[in-house]
Amino acid sequence: MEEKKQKSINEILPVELIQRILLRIPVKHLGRLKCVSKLWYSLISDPHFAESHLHLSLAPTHGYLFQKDSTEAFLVHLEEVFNGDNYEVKEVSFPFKKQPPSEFSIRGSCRGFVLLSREPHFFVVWNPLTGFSKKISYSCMVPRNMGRYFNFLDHAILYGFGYDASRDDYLVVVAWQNGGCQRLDCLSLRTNSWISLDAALPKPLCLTEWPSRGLFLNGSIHWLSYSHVKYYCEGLLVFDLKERSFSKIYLPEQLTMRGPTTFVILGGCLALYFHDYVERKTHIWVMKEYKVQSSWTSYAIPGLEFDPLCLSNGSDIIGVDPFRVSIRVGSTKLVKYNIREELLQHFTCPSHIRHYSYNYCYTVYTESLAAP
Amino acid sequence: MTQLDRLSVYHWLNAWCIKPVGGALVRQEPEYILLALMGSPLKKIMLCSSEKEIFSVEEQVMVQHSVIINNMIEDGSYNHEESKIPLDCVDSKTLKKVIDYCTHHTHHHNDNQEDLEAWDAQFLNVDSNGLYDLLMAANYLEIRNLLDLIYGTIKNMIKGKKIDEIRRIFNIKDHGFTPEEEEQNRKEYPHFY
Repeated sequence: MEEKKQKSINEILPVELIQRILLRIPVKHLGRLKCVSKLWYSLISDPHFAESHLHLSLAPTHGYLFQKDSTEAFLVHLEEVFNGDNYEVKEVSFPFKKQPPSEFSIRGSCRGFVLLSREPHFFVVWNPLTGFSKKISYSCMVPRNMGRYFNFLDHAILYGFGYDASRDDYLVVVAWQNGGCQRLDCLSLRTNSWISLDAALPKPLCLTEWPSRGLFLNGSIHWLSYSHVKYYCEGLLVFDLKERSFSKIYLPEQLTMRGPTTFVILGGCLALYFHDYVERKTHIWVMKEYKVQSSWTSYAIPGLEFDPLCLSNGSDIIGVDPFRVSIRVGSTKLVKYNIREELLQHFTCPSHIRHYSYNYCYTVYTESLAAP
Repeated sequence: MTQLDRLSVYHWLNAWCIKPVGGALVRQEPEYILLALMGSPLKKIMLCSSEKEIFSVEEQVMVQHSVIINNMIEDGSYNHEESKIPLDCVDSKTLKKVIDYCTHHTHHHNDNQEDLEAWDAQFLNVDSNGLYDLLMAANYLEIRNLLDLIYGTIKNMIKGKKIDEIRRIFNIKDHGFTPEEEEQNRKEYPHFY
């Protein structure tokens, strides 16, 4: 018995049980646990582990990355911010040189990675949790007559960042207008090359705005699509990354007739929301089951300009509310509502930190250890 | 009635079991109502530890908690009259605790959350080796709620602790890194240690 007392957990428990223990630890602690022992290091670094953790995650943690201006951004850990006092909203230190400050734009996120575009013609794929980053140039796509500061994505029709599980590859998809014709190109991170997919592009391409940012879910990138005939947003344009083809998801009419809609991914489901200035509420419609029309469920949050960001604990909605008081701009608050539309908690950001919902200066990503 | 039906009836009764007692309606242990309905005695099964000690326990208790035992009884490989279920990888001390856990949770599952959690905390007040034994037994017998409980406890033992402390708690004397790797880690992440 004395001898047994001396044995470590690594010697007593079978490896699969140690792995299961580690799968239950919230992702942000795992980096540290890699240093505990070589066994834990190899278990956590295994790419299948990151994948399992992403799928199993009972409580995914979200990072909310938003830009203050073209050179600075802030990061908020959305679950932690409500956990206690003294949460500090920190300025983000990007994996690129600070001096001279380089201009960048946040372009989207997928499975723990954030896509940034930088002057003068770079994409950066970055995992804020692990610090991994990869820089890719897209200068080959820039038309020759355009200048050094031509920002490809600002002149695109649509773009999106997603993951193709069948090829284990991250893709940046861009549709753009060149001369009279529309082009569709896809950058593969694995091969670091562009693939032309012009033929797949549906004609006509009707989107609510140009450029339109897509959101990745279930192996496809989605954009809000617009109907010229009916003059409102009628559905979602879906690009399947494995099949490399487009399709459409139509929305129930009661959703779309209300006016400008924005969409977001909440708790792994597609959600649309719009601000109702008459009732002074934000209506959120969540498609609880992917592509099942009857599964659209609605919520009405009593905040006029509430922008939902993510789900916490499976059912609480966390979002940003600018809380404008008359015509003065108030401070930005992060707020949490429960499923019965009751306000649970709020957190006021320091006054120099503002959230702007237009022009996509932000993204919400799920923290993960994934490495491409 | 097949085994599966009995389980469904049991669960249904659990939710709705009330019985008039002296004019008032009182919650009654579902086993007794089941008895009254079924007319059969409360079945017991025999579990045999690695040290060949035999433990007799109510069939319903184990069937409710352990997927392995439930499967054995459902597919008929367990004969009530003569057999015992051999559990060669679980010693007597651990088996007794596992039975304790399952029995308490079956009989007291209507208790309020705080009382159950307090009981669970007391139940897991064991040394590390005892905890590992329980984890391996719960894993072998596939007892979901006990597994969740133990994983949660170990998670709390790890969260927020520095590396040196984690190594102490889990008795990791040989971490497996070369002296150079260890030094590199300590230099790069001093705040982890």
